[in-house]
Amino acid sequence: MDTAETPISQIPEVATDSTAPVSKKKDIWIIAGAVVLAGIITLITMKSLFTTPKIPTVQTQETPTPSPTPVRILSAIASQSAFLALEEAYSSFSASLTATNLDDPSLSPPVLDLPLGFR
Amino acid sequence: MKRFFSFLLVSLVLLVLLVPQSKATSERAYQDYLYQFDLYRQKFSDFTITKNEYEKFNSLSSQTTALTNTSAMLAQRDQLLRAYLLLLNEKLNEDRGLIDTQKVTYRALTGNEISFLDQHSTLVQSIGSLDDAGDVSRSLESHYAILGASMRQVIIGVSLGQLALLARQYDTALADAKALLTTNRGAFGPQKQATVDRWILQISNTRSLYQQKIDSINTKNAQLKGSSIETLDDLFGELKRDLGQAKQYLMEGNRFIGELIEALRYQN
Repeated sequence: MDTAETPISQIPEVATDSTAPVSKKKDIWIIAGAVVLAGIITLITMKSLFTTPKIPTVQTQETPTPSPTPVRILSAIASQSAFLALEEAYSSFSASLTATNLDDPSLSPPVLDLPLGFR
Repeated sequence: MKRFFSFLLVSLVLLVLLVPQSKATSERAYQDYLYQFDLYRQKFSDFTITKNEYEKFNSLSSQTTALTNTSAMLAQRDQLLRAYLLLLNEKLNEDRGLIDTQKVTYRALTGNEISFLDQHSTLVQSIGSLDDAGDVSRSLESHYAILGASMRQVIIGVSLGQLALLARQYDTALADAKALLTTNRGAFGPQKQATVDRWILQISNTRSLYQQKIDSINTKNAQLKGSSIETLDDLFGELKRDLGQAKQYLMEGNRFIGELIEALRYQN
């Protein structure tokens, strides 16, 4: 029986691809990432679609209770002609004060260049 | 009755005719001043151009043109200053606040300067050469600080007149308030009476502060002097600030009088 034994040295070397499992792992991670991303997007979309807009709460301010206006009684002299004359003098004085302008621009002295400057 | 109405009619006509005329006088003086200023600008520009040409070419014709334009500019300068002094005079005429002696003092200032300018104008007419023109110009330059001081003194005087008019109104209101309180002593309770009396005193004190400021302005204004226009302008600015402070006292007093009136209006 002639059993031909292949010498070990003659066994053809099987080409082993060392990068194949790494690439597979990478694909899995990419797919997982995409799924997570799609999930997040879906969640955001759903939330924006199904949440009702928040109605702004109107804060009611408490209206301050009006303080009672003190009752003022007119004095006996308020109706006297002397008092009315004083009021008149005061109004006229106030009006004159407002109308008086001490800085009259029309009175600014002329600015002149005096020396003739002949060489 | 008929005589009374005819008198009233004549008074009204006079009032209508005289009041706008006195206003128009200062306005007319101002318009004339502006017109003289325009002419001066034009003549000064002509003078500058011909002076530069003369200095460039040094020719007889350019010298003659320069002389003509220099004389014209100097004459117009006097006219302009004269117009400004006349404007100040009109402002003094319109014033109702200054007392007569003050008006006389300010009028004397403008009058002296107008006389100086009239004499200067005769010198300008006699200019025969560019050297003459230089001498005549220098005679104004050496006097200009005095002229400038006089102008500024009158401007301050016009403002003092405006303030004096306001102070008179202040005095009227204060006197009215004092008289009202004297005749109605006992109209208010003792506490309110004491407060009102204190306020009257404060209003009188504010009036005194105003008067002190005015007295100080009058003294400073009478002594206004400077070797140059710049120095004069500094002092003038200081006086204007003082005038503003004096007006501020009047405004403060006016505010106090307003408060006093409100206090007197009510019993409580």
